[in-house]
Amino acid sequence: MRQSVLPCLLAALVLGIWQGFTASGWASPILLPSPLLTARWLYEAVRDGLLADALLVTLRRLLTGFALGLAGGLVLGVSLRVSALARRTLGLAALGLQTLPSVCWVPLAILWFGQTEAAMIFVVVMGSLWAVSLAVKSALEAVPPIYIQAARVMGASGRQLWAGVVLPAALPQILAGAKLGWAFAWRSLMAAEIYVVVMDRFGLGQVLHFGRELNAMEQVLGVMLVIVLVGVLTDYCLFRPAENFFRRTRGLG
Amino acid sequence: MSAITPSPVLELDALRKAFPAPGGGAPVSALSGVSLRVFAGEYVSLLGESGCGKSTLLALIAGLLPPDGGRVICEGREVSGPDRHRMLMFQADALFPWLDVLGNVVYSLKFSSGLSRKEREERALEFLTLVGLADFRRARAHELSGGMRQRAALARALAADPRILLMDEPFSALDAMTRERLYADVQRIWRETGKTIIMVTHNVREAVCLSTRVVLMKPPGALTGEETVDLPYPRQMNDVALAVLAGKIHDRLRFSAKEAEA
Ligand SMILES: Nc1ncnc2c1ncn2[C@@H]1O[C@H](COP(=O)(O)OP(=O)(O)OP(=O)(O)O)[C@@H](O)[C@H]1O
Ligand SMILES: [Mg+2]
Repeated sequence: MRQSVLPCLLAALVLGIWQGFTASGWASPILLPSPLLTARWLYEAVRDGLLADALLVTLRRLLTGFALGLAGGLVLGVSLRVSALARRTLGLAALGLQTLPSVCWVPLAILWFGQTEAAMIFVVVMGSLWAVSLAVKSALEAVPPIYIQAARVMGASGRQLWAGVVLPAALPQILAGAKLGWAFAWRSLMAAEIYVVVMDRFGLGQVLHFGRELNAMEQVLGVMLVIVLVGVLTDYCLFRPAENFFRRTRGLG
Repeated sequence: MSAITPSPVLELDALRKAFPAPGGGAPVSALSGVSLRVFAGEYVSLLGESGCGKSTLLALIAGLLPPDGGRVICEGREVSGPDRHRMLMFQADALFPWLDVLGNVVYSLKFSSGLSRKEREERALEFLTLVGLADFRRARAHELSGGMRQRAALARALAADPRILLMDEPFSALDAMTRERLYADVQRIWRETGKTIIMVTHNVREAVCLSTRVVLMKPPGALTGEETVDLPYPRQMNDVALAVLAGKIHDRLRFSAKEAEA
């Protein structure tokens, strides 16, 4: 409770300055709507269900794409760890593709899948897969060899070593990789939603995009706030507790 | 002595091992032709200055490292990899951080057949009690002191009940009281189970107190001699005969170190 006082004060301060700035008339309300205007839009969007619908559509895409990217990244990361051939081929590809901003996948996705849900998921997977697989690979490489040696003298081999030693030892770092993948998936999805339009399903990205087309800056800002909020909430509810668990049980940090 | 000479459980035959030099150059020799025979039920201690190849020798016997030359023959077969009947207790801390203390000891019993989950836990607890860590069975490695970690590692190695136990400075981080209690326990376990033990230590008295034979090493990885300890068990650290023998071995070590310097 005590710890949330400072962030709340800070948020209030930012809002206050923002409100004062817009009220002073220095900035045109078309370019920078006041926080009150933005709040009114948010209130309306919540009341008529627009926001909930968009949020649901977006979260579903995000979770599907992230799950696929994570699963693929785990498989790819493990194969990069075990096979020199994979490192020389897929490893190089991953290294290169990781640097590719995910918007670059959009034209290809539209060409291959059309304006569909699949195109959206494709962009999210491509946006997160490579970074996750490289993170998983380095997490596996960072496992201290002494744990593996100790397990081997105790009689473990093959699959037992992987399941009982390598993966548990690498878990904190794999989590960090997943967190990175989550951030990448979010960014990719917003890019995809702005360019790919599935007519009966509008996500947050589309609502943001329409806001720009309608010159409704309060809508743009409102959606941006929601996106930030979702990011903060997932960090607090999902990743933070897992990180704390590892910190507590393993004495890290 | 029986008429038939027993065959050794462990035979080291001209073992050589070198590591690539840090920063290139000629490889560093860790073992340069080590030959040794160890018979069933022996307790052999390895003594020698730091860096003379003791840990490397244990890793080779455990099958964790392949020798560059020579062979390790265990119970008649050439060693080509680790085996849970040849357990190594590491010099460095090797407890698993994702398991608690009990979980660590239970893990070493996971691959011995015929124990139920419950039996494994009971056995693990029995050995944790032996090393005085029963109250810390739910603790994680990072919550233990250095000496407690060492005792947990000792429990993990003993619980697995290997036929050959390799221990790398198992008592180095312990206080004198705990150490002496564990000396008594290890002597008892060794005598009751007839295990073959090879232990690395820097403490000459400890070596004499526990072992049937003390083997001396010097860099770069060569055996320089050995001393049979013919004292009755159970032995006490402050026994006079033991102290005399330890003094003698100490002098031999010092002499060979001086010789190496000259
Ligand atoms: N994994 C390794 N890589 C490179 N060099 C190594 C490695 N392990 C050991 N060495 C080298 O081999 C030599 C012997 O090392 P070893 O660990 O066997 O010594 P030790 O007798 O156990 O010493 P201590 O009493 O300090 O534990 C040293 O010169 C060391 O630098
Ligand atoms: Mg050593």
